[in-house]
Amino acid sequence: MTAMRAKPRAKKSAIDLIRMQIMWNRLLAVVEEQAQVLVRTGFSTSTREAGDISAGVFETVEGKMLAQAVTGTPGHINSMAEAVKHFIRRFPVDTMKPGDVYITNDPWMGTGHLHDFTVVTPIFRGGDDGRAPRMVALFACTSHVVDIGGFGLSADGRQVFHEGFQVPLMPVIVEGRMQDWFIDMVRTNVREPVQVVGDIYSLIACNEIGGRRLLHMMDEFDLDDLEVLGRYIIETSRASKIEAIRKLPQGSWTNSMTIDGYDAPIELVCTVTIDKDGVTADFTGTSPESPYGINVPYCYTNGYTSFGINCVIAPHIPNNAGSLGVVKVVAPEGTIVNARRPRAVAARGTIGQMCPDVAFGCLAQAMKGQVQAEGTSCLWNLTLLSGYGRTDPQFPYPKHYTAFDATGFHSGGTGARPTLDGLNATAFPSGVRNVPVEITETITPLVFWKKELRADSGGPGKYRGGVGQVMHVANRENAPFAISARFDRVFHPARGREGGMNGATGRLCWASGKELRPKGMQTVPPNDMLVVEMPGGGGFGEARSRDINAVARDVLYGLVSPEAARSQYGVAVDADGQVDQKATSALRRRRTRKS
Amino acid sequence: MAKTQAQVQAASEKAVSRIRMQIMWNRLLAVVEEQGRTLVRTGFSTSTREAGDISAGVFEVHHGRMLAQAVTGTPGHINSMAESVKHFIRRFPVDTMKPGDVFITNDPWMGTGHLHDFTVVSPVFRSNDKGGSKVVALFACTTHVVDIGGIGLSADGRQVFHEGLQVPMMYLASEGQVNEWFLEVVRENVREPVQVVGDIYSLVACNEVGGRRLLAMMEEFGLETLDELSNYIIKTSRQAKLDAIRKLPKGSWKNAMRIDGYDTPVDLVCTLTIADDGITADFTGTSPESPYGINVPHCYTDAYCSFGINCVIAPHIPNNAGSLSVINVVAPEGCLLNARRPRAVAARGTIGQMLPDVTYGCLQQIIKGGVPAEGTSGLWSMVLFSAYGRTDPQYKYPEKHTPFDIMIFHCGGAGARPTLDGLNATAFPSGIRNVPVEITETITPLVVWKKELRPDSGGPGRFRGGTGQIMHIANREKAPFAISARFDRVIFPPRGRAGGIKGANGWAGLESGPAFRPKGIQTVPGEDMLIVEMPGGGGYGDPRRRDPQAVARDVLYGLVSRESAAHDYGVVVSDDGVIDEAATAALRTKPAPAPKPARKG
Repeated sequence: MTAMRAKPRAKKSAIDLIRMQIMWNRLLAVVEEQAQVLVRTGFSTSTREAGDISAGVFETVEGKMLAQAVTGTPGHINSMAEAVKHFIRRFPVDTMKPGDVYITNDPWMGTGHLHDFTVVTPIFRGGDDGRAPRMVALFACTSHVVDIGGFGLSADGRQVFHEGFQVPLMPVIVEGRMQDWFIDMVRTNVREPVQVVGDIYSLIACNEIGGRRLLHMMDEFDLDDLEVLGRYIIETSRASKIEAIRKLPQGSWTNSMTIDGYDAPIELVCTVTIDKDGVTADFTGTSPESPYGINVPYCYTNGYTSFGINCVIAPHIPNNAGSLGVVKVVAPEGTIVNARRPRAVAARGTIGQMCPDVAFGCLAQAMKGQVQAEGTSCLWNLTLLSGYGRTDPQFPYPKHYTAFDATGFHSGGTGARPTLDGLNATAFPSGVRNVPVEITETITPLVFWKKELRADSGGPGKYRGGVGQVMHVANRENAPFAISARFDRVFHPARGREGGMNGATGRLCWASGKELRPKGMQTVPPNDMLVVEMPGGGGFGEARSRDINAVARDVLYGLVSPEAARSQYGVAVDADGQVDQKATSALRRRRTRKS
Repeated sequence: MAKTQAQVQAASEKAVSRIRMQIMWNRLLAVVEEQGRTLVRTGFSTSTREAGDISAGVFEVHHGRMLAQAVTGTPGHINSMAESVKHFIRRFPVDTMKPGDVFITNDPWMGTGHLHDFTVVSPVFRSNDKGGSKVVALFACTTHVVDIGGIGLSADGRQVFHEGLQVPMMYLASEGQVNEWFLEVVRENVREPVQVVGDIYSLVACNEVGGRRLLAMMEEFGLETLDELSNYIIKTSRQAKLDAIRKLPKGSWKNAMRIDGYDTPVDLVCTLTIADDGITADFTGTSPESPYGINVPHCYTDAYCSFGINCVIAPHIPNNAGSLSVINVVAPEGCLLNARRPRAVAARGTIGQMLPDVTYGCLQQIIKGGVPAEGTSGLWSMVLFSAYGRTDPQYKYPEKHTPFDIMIFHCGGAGARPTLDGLNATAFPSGIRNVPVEITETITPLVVWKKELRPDSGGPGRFRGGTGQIMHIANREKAPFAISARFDRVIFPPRGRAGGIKGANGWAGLESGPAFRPKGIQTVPGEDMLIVEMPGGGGYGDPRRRDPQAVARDVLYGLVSRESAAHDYGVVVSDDGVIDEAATAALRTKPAPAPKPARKG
C-alpha cells in the first residue's frame, strides 16, 4: 500500500478502468463461487436450502469488505463486513500464518446471535521464491447452524448464557492443524453434532475455495496484491453512492413503527438525515432492551438498516465497504437496537428485519411516491422440535417416536411497491429462500397438510400488498412437538402507504382452537395440529383506484375474496372473476362520494 | 511345635512388611489430604474455599482404582471421582500420557453428576535409572465451580443443554502447555470467569502438589512403583469390609421413601441384599426420570448410596476401590437415579443426598441397635443472584445496584441417632461446611438479618432429631434478587424411627407472605425479604422416654418450646428450664397425644 500512497495518483486510462472493472467482476465471481461452495457443501437446511449465509473477500489493512456474494442475507453480510475488523484487531494480520483459520459466534462481534458462525481465513501468496508468503486477502463467511445448545433458537432466553455455546474469537485451525478439542467441544454442546460440525467444515472449505480462485485470478492478471483494485472498488462504490445521495432532497425525517415485541409492544423510532456526504439513520427514541431474547446487537441493526436504505437510494451499486461507508447507523446503547452483553439475542432477526420498514417510513417522506409500503418483514420461520425436554411435560411421548429439530424458512407477504403489487410469501428484507415442505417432511415425521396463499391478507391498495400464507402442520407419530415462535405483526399489522390499507395480521393456534403467543416455545399436543397464518404486506395507494381487471384476477386466483373485492376495492366480481361493470361503477361512485 | 529360626524370621519379616505397608498407607492418606488442602487453600470460589465442596485422591495406573482419598471432601464427589478416573484412562490410555499432561471434564455422567463440577486428572511420572520415566500414579480432584453458564445451578432445566457449558473429557494441558484457548472458551461461557478459571488452576495445582509429595514419599521408601502398596491397600480394605459384612444377617430388605420432587412427589425405593460377597442396593421401583433438573446420573447414586451404607456397616475402614468394591448399586436405566443423557441434572444433589436415608430404612431392619432416623439430608444451600436477566422482569432494578451470584451452603437438622440426638443444622450425608454469613455479606449487598436454630423443628423422640435453622435475607440495595431453590422435605418431612416423631418440614418464601415452590428460580422483590426455615431431623424412640433433664435443657436453649415439651415429651418445664416433677409424672402416665400437624406452606 505504501508504494501506491507515496506517489500522486495518476489519472487512470480508459483501458485501466476497463481492466479494473473486469477484475472487479471477476472478484464478484470469486466470492459467488465461495458462497456456492458453502451452500453446496452445507449440512443444515438453513445453509443448503435457505441460503442463510454470507461470503465475501476483505482487504488486509483495515479489514474492509471488497466484494460479497449475492447469495446471502443482509443480516449476515453487513454484520460480517464489520466482523472482520474485530478479527484483525484481535489477531493482527502480521501474526497470522498460512493455514490459520479463525472462528467466532459472538453475537456482538459476529452477526447477532449464537446460531451464526463466522469463519475468517487469511490467504497468502508467493513463497515459492524462498521469501515468506505474503497475505493478500481475508475471506470471511457465515452460516446459521441448526443448533447451538442452550434453549435453542428461542425468544425465551433472559441472558445470552441461556442461548447456548459461546465461541469467542479464536483460531479453529492453527497452521493447518485442526483444533480437534474445539470440534469435540462443539459436538458435546449441540444437539445436532453432525450437522453443526459439518457446517463448520463447509465454512472452512468455502473460504479455501475462494482463496484458491483469488490466487488464480491474481496469477492471471499478474497482481501482487489487491491494493489498487481494492481502493478502486471502494472509492468507485463510495463515489457512486454519494452521487446517488446528492440527487435526493436533503433534510431530516422521523418515522416510528409499533410492533408486537415479546411481552409488551415496541416502538422503533428512526430519524433519517440526508446530507451531501451521506445518510444517517438514528434510532434515538426506540424502546429499551427487552427482558427476553429479541434484543438486537448493533452490528445487526447496522446490517439491516444500511441494506434497507441502499435498496431505495441506489440498489444497483455493489455492496462493499465503500458503498456501506456512506450510510451511518446510530443506535443509543441500551435500546433494543443496540443491546448490550449479556442480553438475550437469539431472536434478534424478528426485530432487526423490521429496520428497513422503519427507515422506509422516513424515506417515503423525502421521496414521495417512491417507497414501498410496510411488509411482514420478519421471517415466519417454523422452528419445530420434538424430544425429551423440549415440549411441555404435561404431554407425554408415546413409546416410539422420532426426536427432531428442524427450521423451515417461510415468509408472509411484502409491502406493495409504488408501481407493483407486493410479493406474495416472499422474504424481504432477509432474502432467504423458502425451505420446501418436502425437505421438512423427509427429515422429520411432520406432515404439512396445507400450505397455500392466504386470501385477503394483502393490504388493499392501488397496488395490493403481498399475501401471506396459511400452513397446517401435524406430527404423524402423534407425539407432541414444540414451535419456537419468533413472529411479529400478530398484533400490529404492516401498514399501507399513500392511502393503501394495512395487511392482515398473522396468527398461530392449535387446530383445536387455542391461540398461541407470537413469541416463545409452545407445545402442540399429539393429535392436534399447528395452524399458522402469516401476515400480508400493506397496500400502496387508494384501493378503489386499483385496476378492476387486477382485482378480478385476484378474485379468480383466490387471493382476494368477492366480498373483499366489493367492500375494499369497490369491485363487484364473482368467484370466477366475472366483473359486473355496472355494479362496480355504482360501487366506486358511491365510495368516491362518501369519501 | 517349636518354630524354626527361619520360620520366626519369616513371620517377623512379614510383620515388619505389614507395618511398613501400614506406614506407607498412612503416608499416602497424608499425601492426598495435603492435595485436598491445597485445593481448598488456593480455591477462588466460596464452594471450594469455604464449603470444601471438593474431592481429591490418588489412583493406580492399571485400572484407575482409587487408593486413597482426602477426608476433606464430599461423598458425591469422592465416590463419583473414584469411577471417573476409569473413564479417563479408557479415553486416554495411560501409555499415551506424557509428563505435563492434565485432563479435564465436567461431563455429568463421566464425572460427578452435574456440569458445575470439574474433574481434573493428572498422571505422575517417576524417572527411572535408564533416563526414561513412567506413570506411577494418577491424581484426581474435583470441585464445584460457582457458575457454568446456562440457566445456572437451577432445578428448572429440561435438558443438560440448558444447564451450561459442557466440557467433554479432554486435555487441559498437553506436555506442560495449558490449552489457553480452552480457558478462553470457559471465560466466555461463564458469568464469573475469574472465579471459575481460578478454580480450574487450583485443581491443576492440587494434583501437582499431590504428585510432588508422592514422589518424595516414593523416594523415601525406595518405591519404584505403587503396585505392591496398591494391592495391599485394596485387598486389605476389601477384606476388612467383607469381614464386617459377614457379621450381618443374610437376606433382602426393602424400604421406600417419598420426597417432594420438582412438580410431583418422587418415590425412592431400595432393596438391600446382603450376601457373603457383598451388599447390593437395588433401586428398582423408584420413580422415573423427572422432566426437570433433579435427575441423578448413576455415578452420583452409586456414590451416595455406597457412602451411606459404609457409614453404618464399617465407618472405620478407609474409603478406596477395595472397600467400595463390596457394594454394588443397581438402578434401572431411565429411573430418576440412573437418568440418561440429555436429562437435566443440575440439582441432582437434592435427590442423591436422600439415598443414605433410603438404605437406612433397610438397614434398620438388620442392624442391632438401629440406625439414625431420617434427616434433612438434601443440602439447603442457597444460590442467590441478582442481575439483568436473572430475576423476574416484573421487578425493576434501581439505577444503581450490584449484580452478584453466590452459592452459600446451609443445612437443616440430621436425624436422631439410636443413642444420641441428631446434629443441629449439620450437613449429613454431604459433609459440606457452612459458608459464614459474614462471607456472604462481604461479597454481596445481602444482609442476613437472622440465622438461628429453629425451635421445635427437631422430630421429638427419646433422642431428638437435629433442629433446622431459620434465615432471613434481604438486599440492602433494595434491588430484586433471585433464589434458585433446590429444597426438599417441604412437603414430606424426615420420618422418625423406633417410635420417634417426624421432623418439621421446611419452608421458603417471602416475609410478605407468599410461599416459594421448593424448587426453581424465584424472585425476591427489592423491598421484601427471603425467609428460609430449614427442616429438622426425625426423632429416634418414644419422646415420652426422653430424659426430662434433656427436655428441660432443650427448652432452656430455645430448641424446644414449653408447649412441645408438654405435648410431645410429656414434660412440664418453665422457660428457664425448671421441671415441674409432679405435673410431668402426671402427663407421662397419660397416653401420648397425636403429633401436631406439620406446618402448611
